[in-house]
Amino acid sequence: MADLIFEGLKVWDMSWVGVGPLTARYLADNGATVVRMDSSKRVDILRISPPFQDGKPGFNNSMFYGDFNCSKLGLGLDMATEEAREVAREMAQWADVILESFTPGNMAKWGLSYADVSKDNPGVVMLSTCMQGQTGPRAHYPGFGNLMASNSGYYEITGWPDAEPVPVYGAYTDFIAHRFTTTALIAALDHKARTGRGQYIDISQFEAAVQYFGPEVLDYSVNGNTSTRAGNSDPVAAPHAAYPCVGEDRWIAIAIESDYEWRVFKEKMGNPAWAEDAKFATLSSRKENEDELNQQVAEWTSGWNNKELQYFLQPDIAAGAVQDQFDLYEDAQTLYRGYFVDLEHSEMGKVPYNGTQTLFSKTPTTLSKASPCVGEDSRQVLRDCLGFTDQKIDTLVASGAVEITGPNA
Amino acid sequence: MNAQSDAASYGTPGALAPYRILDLTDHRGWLAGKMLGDLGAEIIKIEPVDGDPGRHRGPFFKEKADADHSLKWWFFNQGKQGISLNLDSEEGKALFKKLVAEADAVIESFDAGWMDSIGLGYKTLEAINPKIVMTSITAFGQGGPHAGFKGPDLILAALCGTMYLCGDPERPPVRISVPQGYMHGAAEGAVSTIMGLYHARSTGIGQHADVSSQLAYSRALMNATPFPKLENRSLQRTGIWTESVGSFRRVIYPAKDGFITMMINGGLLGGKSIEAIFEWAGETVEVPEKLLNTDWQGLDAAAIIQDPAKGLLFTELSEWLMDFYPNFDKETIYAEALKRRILLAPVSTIADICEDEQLVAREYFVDVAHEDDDAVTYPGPWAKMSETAVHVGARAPHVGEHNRAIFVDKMGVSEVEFKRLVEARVI
Repeated sequence: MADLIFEGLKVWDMSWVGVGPLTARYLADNGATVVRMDSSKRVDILRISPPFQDGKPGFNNSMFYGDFNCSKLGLGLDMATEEAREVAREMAQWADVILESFTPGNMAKWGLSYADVSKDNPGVVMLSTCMQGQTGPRAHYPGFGNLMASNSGYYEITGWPDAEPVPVYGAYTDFIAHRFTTTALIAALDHKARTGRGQYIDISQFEAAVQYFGPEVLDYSVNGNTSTRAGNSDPVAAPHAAYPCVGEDRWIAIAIESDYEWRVFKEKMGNPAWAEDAKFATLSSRKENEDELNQQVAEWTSGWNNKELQYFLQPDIAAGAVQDQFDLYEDAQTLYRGYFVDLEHSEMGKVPYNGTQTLFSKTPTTLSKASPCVGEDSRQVLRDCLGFTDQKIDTLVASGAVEITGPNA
Repeated sequence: MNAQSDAASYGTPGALAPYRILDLTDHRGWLAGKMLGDLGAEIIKIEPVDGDPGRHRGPFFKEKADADHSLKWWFFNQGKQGISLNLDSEEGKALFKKLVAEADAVIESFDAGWMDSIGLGYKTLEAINPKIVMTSITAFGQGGPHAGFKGPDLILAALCGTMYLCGDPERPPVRISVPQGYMHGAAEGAVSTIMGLYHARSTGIGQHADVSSQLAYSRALMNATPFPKLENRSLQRTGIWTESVGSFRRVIYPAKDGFITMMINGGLLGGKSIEAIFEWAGETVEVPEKLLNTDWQGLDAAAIIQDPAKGLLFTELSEWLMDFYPNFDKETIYAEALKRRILLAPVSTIADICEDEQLVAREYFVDVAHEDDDAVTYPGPWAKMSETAVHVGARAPHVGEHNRAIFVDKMGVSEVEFKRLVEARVI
């Protein structure tokens, strides 16, 4: 088997929460050595957020943290101490890549700005990711992806037209930004491999998130239109909604995008008399009578199990069960692609990780280990990456600058 | 005042300048090539002779619903060169293979298996150019029981699990109204392509990257997927409220001129933020004693688990905020929040975003010249890189606009042959 894509690449992951850790995870799952900084004094908020194994809160018991940090080694550092900051600076000299997501200015305070680090490590690629970028009037505003999803327009365009906007689940824009950060970072690594030159990258989650809205920004700038929420409807498709099925809160999504598909769909429904009415004959007439159309379709779907109906309609008609999280583990396609990967965590035991969304034909993405406990691998990292003696490590641990928790404590 | 997409900007090499990428995608995959093009790769967009069907997707420039005025096409194909090629014809295939021999990557978003069926699958491309990276962006992936399923955005939203968690619990689950599924799939395609290129450069070995847009979208479930296995439960949608360990807080609040979003948390996450709200509110209104005297910083998830009754304080706080916020407009609330470090944000409209002071200060918006309008405002560079340019490309191409530049000037097709290919509708 060929080497993994990032075999030999050394990554110092000083970031936390979502975007930075997920960016580093792409590298870690594809062969890079990624050391993740952690501390129980300034704990990553994901470690205090659910889900927890058996519902029991604990820094080393959160799979919110876990899922974003597999395939990495954990180094525990209390950055309030000068000794820990010195270790962080040495790690920055060891690294090919540094990721950070502190409030702009923090890294410079610690002597870890790009200018500081690149003096003796000119090839380093350093990526800063934060909500709104390193510069500008709101550079220092802290926040979470939930707020950024609101700030960048996602809530305004979600929900029912007759009601207030509704939040999209989670820190939505984190899961847009992390692919922009990863793409830019690897492009910079590729450039470095060709030219020997490292560089500094500043990515604002806000700016990444608005990329998905390019056409909407243009629509406003040339036509003055402002997109807003439209429930599940689509301007050029009907039926186009989630319809109720047998069971509590069970639904199927159906999308009919042409008059041909409408005819096929009518057949699938057994050609009911109501569907022959002229008011449903064309896309524009179905759009005009969409509420009644949806009611009729809902009556038909409500006698079905949503998964059985999905398989009855596909592949002729675009249909899909509205899956809850249990469903995802039974989804035949998800299983076929081996998406969820069970790994043995030091304290949580066997837990499921989200796997890879891309299957590479020659360098299969490999989740190499479960996520670390806070500082679980501190000793190994300091020995192998920085060549520290056991005695030196013991002193740092005793002073509290370096932290080790979990099985190696 | 917007930055201009002048020659100085796209004359500077980007990080990916040495790469040439053939972009066969339709609207499902356009973003992948755009992201890589923004970083300097040469993107050759290959369309059918009649044009990419995505050219007919609205919104349109001033309601001109033709092949040259789709704003979706404009944005996602900005900076690309455009050639037309009939891949169903033998001559078209032969020309494509010649392009593959000189290219670094191919990105496509046809239905699973289509490239194989026309004799242009990965094995064929690999035989022509072992270094080639081929990225396929589809709804569900190249193989498996659902590979042949239809997967427009609504179906991806349903099957990936995000829709179940979105919307009013009293009403059906709802998708994000602007389609997202293939955006995630295409962005994942950009990541996979650059990963494949990085590997191919050092090893000489290309490969096939098979992207599932369903799974790329499901990453947005954030922390939800492990719940069944760790806590034996599935999260439910909570609409404009959010739930933390059994305690409910409102997320969306009316302002004088729209809405704002507030993250209400106790403990380390948000205790200070709540205290800052009271400090601000205290200047104009009376804050109820009960709320004022609560130790919000001490009220984290663990404290609520210990004493669930305390969770109700958050609901009371939410109700009080429902009366407080409508006294102010979004801009005022956000300005106070910035000053006082309160965790909230406006529910921005697209209009708000276009005028956002932070985006404007970072020169995010750029003007791109079109025949119809010499300064159309685009979202511009999404990264600032110290060594390599992030490009603001020229306007998206017309059908076959760069045929001559590519086929004649670059590939050496003779003028006579070029004319014949055009007449035979191969290009």
